[in-house]
Amino acid sequence: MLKTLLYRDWLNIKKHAISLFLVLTMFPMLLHLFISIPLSNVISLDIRYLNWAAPGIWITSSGVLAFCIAILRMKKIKYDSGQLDAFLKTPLANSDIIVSVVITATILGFIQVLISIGLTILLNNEYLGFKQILFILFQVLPLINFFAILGNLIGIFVKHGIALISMILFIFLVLTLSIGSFLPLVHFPVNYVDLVSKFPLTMIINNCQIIIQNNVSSYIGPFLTYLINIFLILITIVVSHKLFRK
Amino acid sequence: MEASITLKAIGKTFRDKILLADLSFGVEKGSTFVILGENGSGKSVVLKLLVGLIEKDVGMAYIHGKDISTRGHEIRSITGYMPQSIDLDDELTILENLEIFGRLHSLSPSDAHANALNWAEQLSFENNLKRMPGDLSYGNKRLVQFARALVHDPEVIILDEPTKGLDPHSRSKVWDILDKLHQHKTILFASQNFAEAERYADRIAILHNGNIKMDGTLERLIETTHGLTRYRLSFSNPPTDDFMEKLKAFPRILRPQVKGVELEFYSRERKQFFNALELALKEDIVDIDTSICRLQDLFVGLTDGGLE
Repeated sequence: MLKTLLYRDWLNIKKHAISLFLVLTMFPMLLHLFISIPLSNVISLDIRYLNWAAPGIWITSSGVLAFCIAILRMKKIKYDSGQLDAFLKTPLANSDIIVSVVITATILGFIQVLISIGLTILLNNEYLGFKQILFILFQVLPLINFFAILGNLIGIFVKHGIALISMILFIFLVLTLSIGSFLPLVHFPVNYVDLVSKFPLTMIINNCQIIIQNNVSSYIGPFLTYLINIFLILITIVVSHKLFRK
Repeated sequence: MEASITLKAIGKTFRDKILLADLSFGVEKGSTFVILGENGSGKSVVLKLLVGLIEKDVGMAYIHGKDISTRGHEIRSITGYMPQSIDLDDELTILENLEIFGRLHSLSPSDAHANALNWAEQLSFENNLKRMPGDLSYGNKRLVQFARALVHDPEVIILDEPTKGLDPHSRSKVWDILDKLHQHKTILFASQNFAEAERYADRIAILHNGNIKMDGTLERLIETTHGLTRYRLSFSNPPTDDFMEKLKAFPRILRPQVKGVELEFYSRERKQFFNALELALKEDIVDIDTSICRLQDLFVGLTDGGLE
């Protein structure tokens, strides 16, 4: 069943392959052009700013993309096209629908991070070894998964376009401005830094910044994110049982 | 005969509105059963409940002996459902829509493809297979939905107003297919089309305010009218109030109603009709039409205050 739903998503992705490819390449390039380059003239760090901000581009682009894909797909299933009723009259379980959306969004987010890494390597003329890239992917994957699950859960509730845009904007602002992805946390108030540095999201960004400097990173962030993901997906399944069948 | 669908004392409320109240009926295997009802009578609710789109508050419902509450997964795999509203996947072509639904009902990709082509051919929409649902007319989308309900060869076919929005040609194709299938499948459909109900259903249930008012074969339902006849008198001018008062004074003239220059009433006794006719001859009567009570008359009587 799950395989068929994923195949359905693949059929849809194939139809929009060109526009999707444009989004996947333009999004990280725009982040680089409009955030990293201007800020590199303002912020001075021990390492080159453009290299330091690259994890911000990877995580923002992949996180926002996974979130968008999941929230749009779930909103469409639940509210826009009567697809939920169409699915519910088949032997599908609610969890199949939810997991398929999460997997599709995570895969696309993962492709986005690979493209983002490739682009930042090219644009910054930096070198990342195979092992470093593997460590980075290990850190980023649970985060992409988190945003896919979060988008899925919020998509069940978000009926109106304006609410959807607000959510996407909120996630984008959080990822770009508040967790040390483009603006170093040293510029924020100490109390805020104390609080935000305990978030797995901040830990992961920090870990990626450590990895590109060839230092050893911690794995607490990804581990905690996986735990949160399991918890969130269980909540989503419970919510679906309350809301899918009237 | 063995029961295919059984509903026992089903109750359902939604936002303080009673949708179904103590609803019970059964459908035999290999038979065609129609639920007739006005708008909002609960027809679609019954069908959605059987396929698991909504959940009942009380009561028991079984399909092929399986409780829909606990074995919904198995039931949905042997059930084909066509809703009243369009719910085709607008991001997939018509062929992909049919294939995906076949595969979601555990068909292999090749079987799903073959079945999709077969139904497209039978319903004459092969030319639309590569098109998107948004490019099709309402009637063509309904045909695709009908095919989608059958693509996995279900044992129980549940259809919500299957011929709504179809042209006469497509309608007869749908009924030809259902006629062929009804030998070995159970068909339950909701409708407001009395002619189709009379022609195709083995048993008919009349649903009103979430409850079955009457059910049985067409013959049995007609029998319950005990020879009730509908009379229609046409006048050159609308009948006068004086005439109507005199007519209403006759004890066994039922539901006299004036529609423009026509007067319609029901009666079981010819003598009552003759009395009315005697009165009418003093007015400017131009035509008389009499007909034995049919399903539509029975339905109107049952759902609109009764004929007694």
